Amino acid sequence: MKECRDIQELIPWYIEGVLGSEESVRVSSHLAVCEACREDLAVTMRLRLEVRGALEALPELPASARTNTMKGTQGRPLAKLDVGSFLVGLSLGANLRNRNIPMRGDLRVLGRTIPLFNTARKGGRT
Amino acid sequence: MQSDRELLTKVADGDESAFERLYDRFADRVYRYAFTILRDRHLAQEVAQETMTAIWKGATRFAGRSKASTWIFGIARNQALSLRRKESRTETSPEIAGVEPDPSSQILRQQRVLEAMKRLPDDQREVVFLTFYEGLPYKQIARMLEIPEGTVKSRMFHAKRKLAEVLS
Repeated sequence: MKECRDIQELIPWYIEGVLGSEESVRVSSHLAVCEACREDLAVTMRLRLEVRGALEALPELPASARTNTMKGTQGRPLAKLDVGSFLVGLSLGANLRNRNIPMRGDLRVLGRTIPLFNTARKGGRT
Repeated sequence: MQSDRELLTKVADGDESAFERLYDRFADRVYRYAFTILRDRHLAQEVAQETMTAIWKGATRFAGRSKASTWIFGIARNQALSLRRKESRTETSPEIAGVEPDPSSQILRQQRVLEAMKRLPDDQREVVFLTFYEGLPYKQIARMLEIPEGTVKSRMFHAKRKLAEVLS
């Protein structure tokens, strides 16, 4: 019974696939010979699916939270200039963050962004 | 795709686009975690914003001893618990399920699951979230919550029993 309790305690992480190899082998070997623990495995798998489904069904974090966070960290956008195309382009931006106006410039090449300068980095963050 | 750790390193260097990517990767998860602790969407949103701001300001303090996600959820937990202490003084009533009633059986079932989660003790509900939703190993959960590994396993064991009983 003690072994069953130990195994049933590990089953949630066995299902997640995050047990160490030794513990994982221990659970697998026990499951092969114990019907009660196999039943617990099935119940736990069902619970996991239901809990995940219910949590995923919660309304998403509102988009306003993103706007608020970015304003509080990166500042309020003052000006942004994008030139070029998807293949090669240049972005220049200036934000208002507290009383500073950090500026940044990025080069875009084939969809990748390569930072050119960012005055916020040198000035430190607030 | 860049790892969470790589993104955090860039955020520590003031990289704004890395922060935006980190936000998109974590903010909603932090929100759901905070909702699990606080059972209130508005407070959970506040925690998500505060946590992401704290990451921007404090990314240099990430020492790399734990997984980046564990570090981030640790910050979220502190924010949520601190907010709960503050709110307990003003007596707010937690939302029952966080979603509006809906006639569809699937939604009703989801509401029943959330209701069953709500009935769990706070410490068990949190471990259920970190295990079933985030898939964190029990050792990491123990480090994050600063409790023995055996306590994590035991909380999960009892939570599982209660959920199974209510939802059977």
